[in-house]
Amino acid sequence: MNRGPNLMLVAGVVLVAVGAFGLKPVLLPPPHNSAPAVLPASLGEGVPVEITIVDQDITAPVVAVGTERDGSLELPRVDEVGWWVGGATAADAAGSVVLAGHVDGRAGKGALYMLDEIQPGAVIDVRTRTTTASFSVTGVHKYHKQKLPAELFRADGPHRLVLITCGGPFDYSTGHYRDNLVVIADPFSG
Amino acid sequence: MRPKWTAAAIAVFVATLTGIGGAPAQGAGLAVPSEQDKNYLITAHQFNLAQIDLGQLARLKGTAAAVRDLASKIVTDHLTLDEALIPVANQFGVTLPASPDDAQKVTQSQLEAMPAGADFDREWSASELSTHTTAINQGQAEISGGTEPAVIKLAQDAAAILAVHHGSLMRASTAASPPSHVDSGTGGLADPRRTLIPLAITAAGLLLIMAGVTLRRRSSL
Repeated sequence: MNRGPNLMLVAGVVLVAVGAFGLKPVLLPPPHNSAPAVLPASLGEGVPVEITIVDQDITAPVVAVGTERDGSLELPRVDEVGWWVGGATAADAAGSVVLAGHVDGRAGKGALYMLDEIQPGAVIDVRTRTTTASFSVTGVHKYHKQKLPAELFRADGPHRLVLITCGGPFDYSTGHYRDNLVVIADPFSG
Repeated sequence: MRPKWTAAAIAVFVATLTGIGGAPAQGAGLAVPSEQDKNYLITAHQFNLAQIDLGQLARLKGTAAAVRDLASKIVTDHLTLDEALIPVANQFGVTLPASPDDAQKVTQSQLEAMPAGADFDREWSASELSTHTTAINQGQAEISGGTEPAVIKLAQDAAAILAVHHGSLMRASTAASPPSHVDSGTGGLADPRRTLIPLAITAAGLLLIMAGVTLRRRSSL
């Protein structure tokens, strides 16, 4: 008897199983339910302590971050979002409120893993210690990491939310993504 | 031309206004402060003088509006703090220096030598952040280890103001060094190509299954 067809069937089943395993979704880390990080009161009342992307049902604590010596933005834990201290607070009348978080890490998905699926008009709530400021997405942009516009970090421009994570193809030799995904959102009083 | 007020001149002016610029009160009722209290009064006074000078420098030379605004606030607040400190020092017979200490003078000279621009803003705010951290720690040492309530009260009043300066300096210092890039992913899970390989493997498997089924049907005919 010709064993060829049977071997093809077995090989096909194996390949389908291997492919399906590679396509299976990686589980998100459990929602972060701990209390938001406490920031120095001297940084101001408008300092963000928590972000919620309403459409995606994502909530993450926000911690204050600075600029590293190599020029990169300091980033918090993979399940947290960082507020760049040099930018505006949510209570300021002008300037960019810059928030950045991981798309992923070696241990799994990050707080902003789903950011590339966000659509214009989506609402992002930024909670401070005393109030919540809402922003509506007006644009989603992708920049090569080394060409991130300095204008995003302006403290004297229009008041807006700038949400940054990584995107584009992943370079396995360096362990980094090629691009930065940037979501711009304007103040919104819903 | 607008006259430039030096910290020392302002200190003399403040002392004259408050009528306590002369010799300290003498007599049996003069309280004797601890060394901690004395040291705090001297270092806090010199810090005030240095801040008035450094604030005036950045108010004129700062490029970013946030730096100039903060510099103005620093000048105003440290004038007020020194106005409160000088009578207490006189009350306890502590002689206050007429100028900032040597390290503070060196910092002032270095910053004065810099041209106005982003580098000056960065250096000024970083230097101020560092010295405010030291001043906050010195104030905490007085609050926890001082003996004279009037001196401890000075440290407590200054602590609230220095904390606000520290926060603003942290923001100004960071704003002077905006990030050039954001490395926010190291897992590769979001790589759009990541699903293509499993899809290709699955498709190849399905093709093999279809071919195998077709060949079996033909061979059974």
